[in-house]
Amino acid sequence: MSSSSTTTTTTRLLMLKASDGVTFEVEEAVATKLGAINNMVEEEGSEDLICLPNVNGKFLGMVLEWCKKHANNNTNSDKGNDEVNKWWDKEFVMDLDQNTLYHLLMAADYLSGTELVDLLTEKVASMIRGKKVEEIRETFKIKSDFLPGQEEEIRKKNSWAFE
Amino acid sequence: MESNDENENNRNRCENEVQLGISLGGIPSEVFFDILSRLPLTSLLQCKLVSQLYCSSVKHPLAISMHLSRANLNNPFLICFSDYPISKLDIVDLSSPGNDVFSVRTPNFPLASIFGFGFHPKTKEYKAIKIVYYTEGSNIFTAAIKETEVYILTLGDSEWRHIVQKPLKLITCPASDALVNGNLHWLTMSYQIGEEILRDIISFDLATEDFQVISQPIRLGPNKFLTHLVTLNDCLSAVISSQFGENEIWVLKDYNVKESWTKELVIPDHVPLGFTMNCAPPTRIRLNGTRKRAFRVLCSLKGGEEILFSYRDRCFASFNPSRGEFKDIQIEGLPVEFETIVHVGSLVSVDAAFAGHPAQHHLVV
Repeated sequence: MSSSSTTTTTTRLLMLKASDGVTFEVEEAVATKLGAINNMVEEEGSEDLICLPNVNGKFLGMVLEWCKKHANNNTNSDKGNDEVNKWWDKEFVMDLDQNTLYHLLMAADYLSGTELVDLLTEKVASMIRGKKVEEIRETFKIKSDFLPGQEEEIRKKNSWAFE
Repeated sequence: MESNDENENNRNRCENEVQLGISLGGIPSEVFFDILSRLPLTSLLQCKLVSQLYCSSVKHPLAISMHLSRANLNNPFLICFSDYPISKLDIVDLSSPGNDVFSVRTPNFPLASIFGFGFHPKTKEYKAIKIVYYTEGSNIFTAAIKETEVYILTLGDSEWRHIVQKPLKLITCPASDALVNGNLHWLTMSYQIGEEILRDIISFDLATEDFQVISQPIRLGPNKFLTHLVTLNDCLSAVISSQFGENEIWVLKDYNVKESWTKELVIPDHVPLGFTMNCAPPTRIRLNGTRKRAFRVLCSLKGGEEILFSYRDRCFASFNPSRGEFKDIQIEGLPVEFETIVHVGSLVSVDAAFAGHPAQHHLVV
């Protein structure tokens, strides 16, 4: 890893191709917020077209939209950027349905978008936090697969929490 | 008990993908552990009951270590001990929206020994220490000490071991208040030199099992008193209260440099709204609590933004130093008086400490 490899400031454009053939033209500075793409750029150097067979156009688009917003907010060297990012992140995850949330999380994880994975896992955690067992099952449509007596045993072991 | 086959099955699934639920489909197990690591213990206990897969994921070593590394981001638990009218522990979850309280009955403690419990980061061992003073007469403050015995229990061993090292001065607080750098700390009994009343700090290194004396931060004069110790931002801190309504917090910035005591902030006296004055439990019944302090700093909240304290062992409030504001914290269902212990929730099991003596109450998942 060369320590002085600060990418040139002239905007270079990358082509990203999703599994369904949809392509996106993105500034390098934006796309390299994603660890996976950053690695490909560093390894393959001049390659301008990057194929991403594990993510489809819809969700790649959403991931890139998030990257773009964060890249823009960070270049405006204004104070209060963190506030803007936070506010925007909140809007971004507010109305996600579970299906979209799941596919976005998969896409962000696949592309190694650490900050975005953080945001999305926190969103899922907030859907579990403070809920009772039945409510968690209801939220994620899970059926209990415990054998008779098993659930009772766990309840007994931590009885202080279930009174 | 689950059969081995099922365990095997769960483990295999864990290593690949987690079926989080129909609507969330299968996500990589590391991502699921990341989600779990963000939850407070009370939520994780609920998760254990959702399905076999949730249950095995909460117990997974990777989930446990991820949760531990995030532990300081969540607000801690408070364990409130009272022995009047019955001995019980109330566990308050400060990270739950309603400050939920869980109650556990405990056996009565007839002993007035000194206790400490902690983890040393270098040896990676949990140890408990018990210092027993044999006195002529029952009052530890007035009776002559005949003998001192020190016992150590290393987590995983089944028996307490007797060690020859002894604290260099008489310790009077019943339990260690501060664990810093793998060292437990207690305050000694106060003693007088000239006009001045002094109180030293005794440390016990959990790795070397040695006691040391740490001098108190400043010369106090007749109107100030070192009341208690607390860990703030991983630093040993001493709270010095004056007769004029102020409480100074002194922080030992560099643990190994005894000159690094710094006055960090001053909190004025404050009586929280929840303080009940008119019902007094007979204090002589409080076998295991001799502190009875007006003001006791417990921990910092919200990553250091606020300082949580208890008032006369009866109620809680927090102080925001940057705004100079107090916030009273009302928690329903606690006894009139209690001792509070700050507890950072972790999934690391301490069951092994009770080998041969099954723990009566599991505070740890």
